Amino acid sequence: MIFTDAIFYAFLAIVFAAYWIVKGKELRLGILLIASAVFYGWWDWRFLFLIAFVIGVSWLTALQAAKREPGERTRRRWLVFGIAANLIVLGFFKYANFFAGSAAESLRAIGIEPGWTLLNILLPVGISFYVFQAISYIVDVARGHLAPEQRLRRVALYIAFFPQLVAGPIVRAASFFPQMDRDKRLTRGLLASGLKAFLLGLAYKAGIADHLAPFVDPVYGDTFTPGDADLSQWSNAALIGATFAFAGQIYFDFAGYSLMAIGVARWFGFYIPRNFDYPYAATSIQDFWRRWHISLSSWLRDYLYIPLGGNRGGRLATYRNLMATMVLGGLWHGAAWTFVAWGALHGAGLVVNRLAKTATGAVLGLVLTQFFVLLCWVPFRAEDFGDVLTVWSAFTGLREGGPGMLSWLVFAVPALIALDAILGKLAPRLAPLRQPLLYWAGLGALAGIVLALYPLDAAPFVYFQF
Amino acid sequence: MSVLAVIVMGLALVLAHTLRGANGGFRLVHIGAFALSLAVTALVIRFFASENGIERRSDYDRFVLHGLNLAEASNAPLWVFVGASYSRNAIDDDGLTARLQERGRHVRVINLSLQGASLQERRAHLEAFLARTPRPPERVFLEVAPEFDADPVYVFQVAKFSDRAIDQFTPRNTARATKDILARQCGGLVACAKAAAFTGSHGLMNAFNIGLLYSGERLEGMEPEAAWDAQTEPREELSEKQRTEISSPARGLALATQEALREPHAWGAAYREEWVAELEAADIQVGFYFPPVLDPGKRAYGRGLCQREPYRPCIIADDPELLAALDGEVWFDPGHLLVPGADSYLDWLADRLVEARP
Repeated sequence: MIFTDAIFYAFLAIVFAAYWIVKGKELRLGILLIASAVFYGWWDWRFLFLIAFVIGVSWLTALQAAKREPGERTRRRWLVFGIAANLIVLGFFKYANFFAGSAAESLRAIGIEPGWTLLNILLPVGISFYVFQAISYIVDVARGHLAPEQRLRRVALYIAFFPQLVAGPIVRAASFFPQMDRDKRLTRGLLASGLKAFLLGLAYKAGIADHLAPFVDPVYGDTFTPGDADLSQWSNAALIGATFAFAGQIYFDFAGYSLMAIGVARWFGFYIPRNFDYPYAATSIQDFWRRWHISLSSWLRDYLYIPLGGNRGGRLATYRNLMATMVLGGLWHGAAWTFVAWGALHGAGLVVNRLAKTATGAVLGLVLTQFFVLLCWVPFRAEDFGDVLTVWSAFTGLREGGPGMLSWLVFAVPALIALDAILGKLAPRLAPLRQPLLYWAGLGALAGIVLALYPLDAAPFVYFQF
Repeated sequence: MSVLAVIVMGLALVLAHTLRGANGGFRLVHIGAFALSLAVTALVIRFFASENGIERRSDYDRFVLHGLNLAEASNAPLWVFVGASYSRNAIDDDGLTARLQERGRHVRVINLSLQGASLQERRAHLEAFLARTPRPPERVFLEVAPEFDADPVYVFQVAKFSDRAIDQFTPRNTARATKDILARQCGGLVACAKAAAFTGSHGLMNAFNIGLLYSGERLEGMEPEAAWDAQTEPREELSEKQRTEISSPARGLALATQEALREPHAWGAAYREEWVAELEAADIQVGFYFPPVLDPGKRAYGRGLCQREPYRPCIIADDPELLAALDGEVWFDPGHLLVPGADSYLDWLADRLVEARP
């Protein structure tokens, strides 16, 4: 069940009605918890055992850690145990085959046949997101930044809250728990702001991202069936066009999902922080990471980069920490060396950003940054390094066949991205359209447009694979 | 992705970013404004899509394009066969054209058939052909099979919530299907309730253009493809009972006689009558046909229709001589022919077409 499935709308209508009909905070939270279980179990009911384990371990270890005094060794042990248990779950389901396969290839390279076979492991949807959310809860409690939650069901709802369960945004417990305690009323503002976010997200996802996917998948191969791409058969123009299309697709797809999640959460009276702030308007790599997948980049900063030492140990240590954070961030996205390379490239970009003393102008910074980001999307999307080199060589014009005709996507995608960013920045400064009749007529027009653009065979959200 | 889609995407971004919370109450008038604006937007999008030739497409459109190519490449009168999979596996346009020419009829046969095509779908695609053909067909032959006549929403047996299904529920078709469902021409209360729900939802999806700018495309942008689908290997082995139905004319005829007494399905008969009147008003001669199948009931249904159609060509493949020739390895499955079976049928059909009164 994804946000663009017809069944989701039926599910949402039922949960929404039940949630607001019943009275009482706990009953409502119970409804959301049951709905979250149904939502997640819809993919595969066996996943419920896994998420239940993550919830149970996180709840227990946070409670146990909080019982110990700060600085006490057992407190630290509970913290390590909680993090390790979560990482083992993530590691087994997401990375076991990757590391086993990489080790086997290395052994074969030196003439040794490994004595193991790879397991057929099903990757549970959204595991990277909810494991990170669970870890942040344990760490926040162990650090003393957050009181442990005694009620298991509340920890369960925090980790499994269905609007953001499978693809984020990664929500912090410190912002979510107080919202569970707040009395909620169904107001016009709540409905309207939820609808606005949801419709914008739907316009991003169904109106734009899904229209770009047919230019990406035939070239790069289907995201969900690896091994079916043959990039060498495509012209340079097609490769460059597909890369531009992917840059647009991943932004509108993921930002669209995040907005829809924010909208759905609003309808239940919950605020989820924004996840994107027009990243393609960034004028440096550092700026880009303040705008792209904000909930992940801030998580990596708070729970990885700063614990590693951050920028406190001198210049070299800062660079090392940046590289380590970004490489692990790359690996978080997928169990493949291409994702590691993507993370490493961005890490290197951040280091160069810090090394560069002379400030570039905004326009030059924008162009350089976005071209770098665009080239980095190649390893992110390609299936192997051979494909990466094929696409990069198409950009240089060194690849046989010459540059060929430039794809119109090279102009259309940046135009849509620019329009989105300009409107996004300008809109708050414009006098809001507060005349109710015009407002609702505008929403009707937007709905009419989104419906016409709506794909009947909606592609899964790109970030579901992570 | 069309230029229109890109423009509409831009409009969506403009609206989505500029609309912000409304002051004041939320009353019935606001729901009205929302609904009216939604309807107007849908109409405007439909108008511009139509002006740009953007429609939902299926394989049927490829067949139409192929048919148009055949029509342009020939100066002979056109005979168009419109049907479903029975015809796709039986009527080789070139083969039947050659046979007719051997028999002295200089015509160009065009097969416009798609598997599972409802009567509405066939009519829409014949209309698309007629709108673009360099000259109107001399004759149009309509395939007659009971299952398509029985169900005003036959499409739901082959496709739901797809472009192909949504495309059929134009306001006119939706209204007509609703009327027919209300008249209980859908086999029981539960079936009618399901048909009504599907009809309503597909009608709305059509009216609000759902996915039109995603999957819609211009006919000219498609690759033509022949409807004739030559099958060379059987899909399934026939049972002894099925074999008997073709090899035992006595049993087949007994069943067929019973079936022939039955009235034609009212919905299909009425729909066809209206369709035929429209074609004849355009000076196109209309005939009926049904390719060979094992099921004697289906053959008899066609024969029943022919008994009620004394003035138009009506060629149902229930000739014992033809059926005897089809008693062998000529069946793709009980309803469809392999190439050798189609060859026998086309020889027989060419003779009947030559004999048939105009």
